[in-house]
Parts: sequence; structure tokens; C-alpha cells
Amino acid sequence: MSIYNEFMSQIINWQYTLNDSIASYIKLVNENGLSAVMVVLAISFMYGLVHAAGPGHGKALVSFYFLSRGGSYKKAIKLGYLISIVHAFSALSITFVIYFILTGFFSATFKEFSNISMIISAVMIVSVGIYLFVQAIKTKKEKEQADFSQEKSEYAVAFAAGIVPCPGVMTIVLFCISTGNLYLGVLSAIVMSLGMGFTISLAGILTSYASSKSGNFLKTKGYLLEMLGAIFIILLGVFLFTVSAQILFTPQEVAPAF
Amino acid sequence: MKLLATFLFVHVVLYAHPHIFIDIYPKLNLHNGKATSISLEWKFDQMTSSVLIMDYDKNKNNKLDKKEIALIKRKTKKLFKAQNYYVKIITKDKNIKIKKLDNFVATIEKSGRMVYSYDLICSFDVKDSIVMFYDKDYYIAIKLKKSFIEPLNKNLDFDIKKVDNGTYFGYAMFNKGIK
Repeated sequence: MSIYNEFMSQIINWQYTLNDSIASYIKLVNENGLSAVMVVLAISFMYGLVHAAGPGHGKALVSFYFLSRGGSYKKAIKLGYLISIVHAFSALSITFVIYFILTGFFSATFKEFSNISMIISAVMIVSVGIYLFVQAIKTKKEKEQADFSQEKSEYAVAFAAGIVPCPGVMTIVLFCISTGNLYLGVLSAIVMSLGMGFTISLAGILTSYASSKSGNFLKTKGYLLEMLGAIFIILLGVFLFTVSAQILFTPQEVAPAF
Repeated sequence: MKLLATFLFVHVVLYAHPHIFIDIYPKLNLHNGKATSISLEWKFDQMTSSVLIMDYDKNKNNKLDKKEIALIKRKTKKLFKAQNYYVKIITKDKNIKIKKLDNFVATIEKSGRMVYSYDLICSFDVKDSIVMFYDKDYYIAIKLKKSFIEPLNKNLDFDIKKVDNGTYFGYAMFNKGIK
């Protein structure tokens, strides 16, 4: 096993343990009150942090974005947390629609919603990629960029990455509902998303750091890196679109959801 | 730069990560040095179990009756078949085909965990065989420990190793033979 794979395998082991711990402490909330709530929230944050450390399109998108646009660590943190806010909102709203409005199988319906949102996300990612590519060509001609357009593209990236709901968030919320703790479910989902935001921010910071280490290259041929990042984003969008469309057209009974 | 490119590539290719955690309890049913079937128990993690119970325990009595089990069986069988039963068996460099899934039962443990029990009908020489458990889509993380296998397979001489093909992880039983 390579070091990377060993690390990924370890991440799964941590998630396995954290997943079990959250469930066990949620069960204790009715007896132990506030102290158990605090433990649940602390583990939820850790769970989100570790969960997002596994492979995911959010980190890939942020990394490519920072490769293309560069940016400060502050901006990386801002983008990471924008994504986590959209992520929490998306997962919570879909979970509540399924639970309170729709009837049917939770996991299967959530998966359907998830696949549709993945396609929307993929289309948005390709659009962001094309936009950044065009901007990179412009940059080649004129060095200056408008701050406003940069901010717009940040929100587009946050929305594209965050809109795909995490089944892990849905599971926590439904588990809390099953134990009669709806509000704890909402809080845990938000805190878990904050944990994910931390890891996604870190991916942005690392890319930003790596880009800054390219030294003189960026100053003279920076637009090449911008183009490369934009191309990676377009490829990521196309890849996600292909996979999501394939899943969407897989008969529901053989799609991997229980 | 090379490191950065590798990091980015890995995160594009490997974009799946598991959301369901399962403890798996396999028992090889033996006859004259051959395995004639594998009895399996899948124990879902507590949180996934609660979602499954919401989905399938229609009368909310925290037990699964015949109709509810039949519904789970109908839904699960197709999925399992499409995923090759989340199992790969190799003996003497040959892939062993699983003929069918039989005796499916679903129960809810006192702890609230959902358990699927079933038999995979297949036939292979136990000596030097490898039985791997994994989900190629990596939506499910399958956990297999020696302590899960030993009490069920007292006559079996085996080892456990991790399955790692770069995009998903699982576990494999390396069967040396019968004690």
C-alpha cells in the first residue's frame, strides 16, 4: 500500500469509529442532556473534517480554482466556508422535503435528488471553467482583473461545489429525528458542514501555497497556470457530468443505495 | 509542481467516498474440502440502520414481518446481483461465479442495527482460495475483522489482508486450507 492509500484507508477507519461514536452519543442525549449534546457536536465537527478529507469534487474544484486564480489564505478559508454553508443548506432542505413532504424510500429518493444536483453542479463547474478560461485569455492581454467578477466566480464555485448534498448529513439528521432530537440533527448537520469547510479551506490554502512557490513563473507566465486550472475545472465538470448521467440512467433498483 | 499535479489528479479520479459502514460476518460452509456456499451477515452502522428502519419497518413496531422482509429482499437482491454480491472469489487464478443468493432474512438487533443474513451459493476448493469483500463504487465501506470470522470458521486456517486497488478498499480472506 502506498502512503497515500494507507492514509485513505486510515481515514475510513476514523470515519467508521466517529460514525459509531456520534450515533452512540445521540442515543445518550435524552438521558445526559447538554453534556452529551456538546460531545455530539464536537464529534460531528471531527466527522465532517475527516469525511471531507477523503476524495471529493469540492476540494478538487477549490484546488483547481486557486490554481487558476491564485488568492490569499483568507480567500481560501472564505471559499471553503461558503461551500460548507451551501452544502449544509442543500442537505438539510432535501432531507426535510423527503421527510415531511414526500413519501417513499429516504435513501433512494435522496440519491435521486443527489444525482440531479450533481448534474446541475457539473454544468455549473463547466461554466465556471469556461468563464475562468476566458478570463485567463483576457489576463494575458491586460493584467488587471475586476474584483467584482472575481467575487462572482467565487460564489459560483461555492454553489457548484456545495449544492450536491452529502448523504452523511442526511443520515445524521434522520437518526436524530428517530431519537426525537430534530434540533440536534439540524445543529449536527451544520457543525459537520463546518468541519468539512475546514478541510476544503485547507485544500485551497495548500494549492494557494503551492502556486505561490512557483515564484517568478507566475509573474511572467501566470496566465498559463490560469488556463491550466480552468481546463482542469472544465475536465472535472465533464467527468462529473458523465458519471452522474450514467448513474441517473442506471435502473433505480440496481443503484447503490439501500 | 509534480506533487501538486498528482494531488489534483488523484482528487479527480478518486471522487467517491463511503457513507455506509458495514461489519461483515462470513462463514464458509464446507463439504469434503470444498466450500459449497458462504453464509453472510451484514451489520449496518447505527445511523444507516435507522434510515433503513424508517424505510422498511412500515408498521413502526421495530420488528420486520414477512411482508417487510420480502420488500427488502426484492430490492436488495437486484442491487446485490448488479454489484456481484460485493464479493470476489479467486482460486487457482480463476474467478468463481456465484450462482445465486439464497435464504435472505433481515432483522433488527436490540441495539437498533439492521442485519441482512443470506447465503451465496457457489462451489470452490478452499485451499489457497481468496474471498474478497468490497464495494467497487466505494459507497459502502466494508469492515472485516479476524474476530468476526474466527468463531464462525473454527476449522479454517486463514489470514486477513486489506484489498486496495487504488480507488476502493476492502478486505480479503486468504484461506490456507482446513485445519
